[in-house]
Amino acid sequence: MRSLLATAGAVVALACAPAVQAGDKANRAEYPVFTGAYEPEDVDERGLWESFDEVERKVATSKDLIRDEGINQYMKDVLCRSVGDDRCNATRIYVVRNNAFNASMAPNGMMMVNSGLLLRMRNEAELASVLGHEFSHFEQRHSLQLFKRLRSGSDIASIVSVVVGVPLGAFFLLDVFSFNRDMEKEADVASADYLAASPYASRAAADIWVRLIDEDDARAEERNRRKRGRSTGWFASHPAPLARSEYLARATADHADDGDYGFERYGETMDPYLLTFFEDQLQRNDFAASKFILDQMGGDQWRPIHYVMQGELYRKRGLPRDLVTAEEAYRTAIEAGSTRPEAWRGLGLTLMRARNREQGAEALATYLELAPDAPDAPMMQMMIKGS
Amino acid sequence: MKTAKKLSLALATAAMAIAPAPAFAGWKRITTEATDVGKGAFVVTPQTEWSRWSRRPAKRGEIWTQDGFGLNMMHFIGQVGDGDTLFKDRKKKERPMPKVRGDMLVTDLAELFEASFSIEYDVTQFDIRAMEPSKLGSHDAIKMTYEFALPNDALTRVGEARLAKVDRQVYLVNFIAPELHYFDQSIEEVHVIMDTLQLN
Ligand SMILES: [Zn+2]
Repeated sequence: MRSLLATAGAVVALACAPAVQAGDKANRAEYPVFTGAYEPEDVDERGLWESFDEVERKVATSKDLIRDEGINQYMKDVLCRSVGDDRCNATRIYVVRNNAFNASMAPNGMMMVNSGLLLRMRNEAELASVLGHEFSHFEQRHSLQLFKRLRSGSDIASIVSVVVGVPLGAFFLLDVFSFNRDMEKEADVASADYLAASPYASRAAADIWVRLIDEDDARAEERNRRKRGRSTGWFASHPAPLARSEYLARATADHADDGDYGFERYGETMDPYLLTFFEDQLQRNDFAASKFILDQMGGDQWRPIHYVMQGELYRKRGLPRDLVTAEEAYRTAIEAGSTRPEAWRGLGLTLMRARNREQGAEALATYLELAPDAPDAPMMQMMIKGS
Repeated sequence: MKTAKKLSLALATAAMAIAPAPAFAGWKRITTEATDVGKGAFVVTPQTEWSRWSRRPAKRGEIWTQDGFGLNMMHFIGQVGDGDTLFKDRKKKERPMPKVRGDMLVTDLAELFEASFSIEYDVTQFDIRAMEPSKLGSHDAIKMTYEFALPNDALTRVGEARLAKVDRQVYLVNFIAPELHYFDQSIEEVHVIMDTLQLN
């Protein structure tokens, strides 16, 4: 059930107001000099820019775009804190509701970030490092370099026509411009430099890629297929995540700073969205990886919302032993002060499925008291009466 | 960061334009007579003509359209038993489909549909607008109306699904269309079909 997204924006607008105090960490490096956003130079490049502008117009009207001002302002703030104010104003960030771990950067300054990426970040510093990585593709003109390698005019013309003609626009297009391994490494190293100059802890960057491998390992084990994260072939064009973590760890060790992780700020901003983003992930019938994501997110500081998510995770798989775990999770969330109606809804449905109809009906009645206008209210009324 | 391989509705529309039938997929005209659907799982009497796609979404399932899948699409899937999947489990290792379980509540059927449909069509966003008790044929059912999004698609697409469990077997009839014009164009007939069909 994902009816709460619309109201989430208002909460976030309040939550993300205070900015980080700059200059509060030891060993803070300087940003490299920024030469400004690149302007297209010849007719081919202008054609390329225009085609990306066309794609950007499509992205801006797409149905899966998250338009809440709060979260969009927050993303912009984090990018600015990560790469510095003069850089961040050269880009536009679009947050897309899509459970896949993905972000992308176009040569005209359009950055796309999936909700699935936000679900997998543990703190603001990790997000800052990913945004810095994407930004450096832009600053180092990686897509332009790839474009120039296509050399002949007919190639260029066909690419431009493909870019504009495809209804699914950006996804196909960004595949065409998938960055190669050297460029990825260059972007990783640049993002480590940004982080060193930012208020954020440089160490935050290295962990993300190890977790990505571990998540896929968990998925592979559940689906009984070969693990692939440690080989070089995964993400064809990208460095293997393990190698990535290693050189990022080395790069950030050079900046042995004590910067900010922005843990609480990230939690406050994302809390209203987490359940929605996690439900999108649960729809993928991807239990082991979803559990891994939740465990990483909660770490050793589980908040009430995490227990609601745990309840959903187990209730939706629905094995008899899962119902026991789900019930406990919802009850923990409620005891810990969760006010999310979904906690009572989940508890009620779990109890009913476990044939504890009377208590289940009580929990559903509480759900309806908290959310009388819920879209499933008529159905839940029926469930209560039927018991 | 990754290549998105998608069987999206939008691509399906481009590849499977409704007339004339391309070599790899056949279309069969459905007339306004009582018709066996899903290898006999349903008997359906439409009010207008529809086209049935030769490729089945499930063992005992069919997909119909009037103007092409991107514009309107109706699923009939029936006799799905304990341990089976709603849609064919074509890619078990990459995108496994959730399975029907005997102890599922009627609301669990709605969630089963939501996940199965999202996996089948690579839906990025699925939001329920309403969920209420209803009928499928003469049987008790859950009815859900919802809106959903495909990757980078501007259209608001909406759907109405009804699911019932009869003798431990699950039945689904689902209709989807863009909200603008196409949903309203067909929904009255869809309601009549859902109300009057017979489950076997
Ligand atoms: Zn990259």
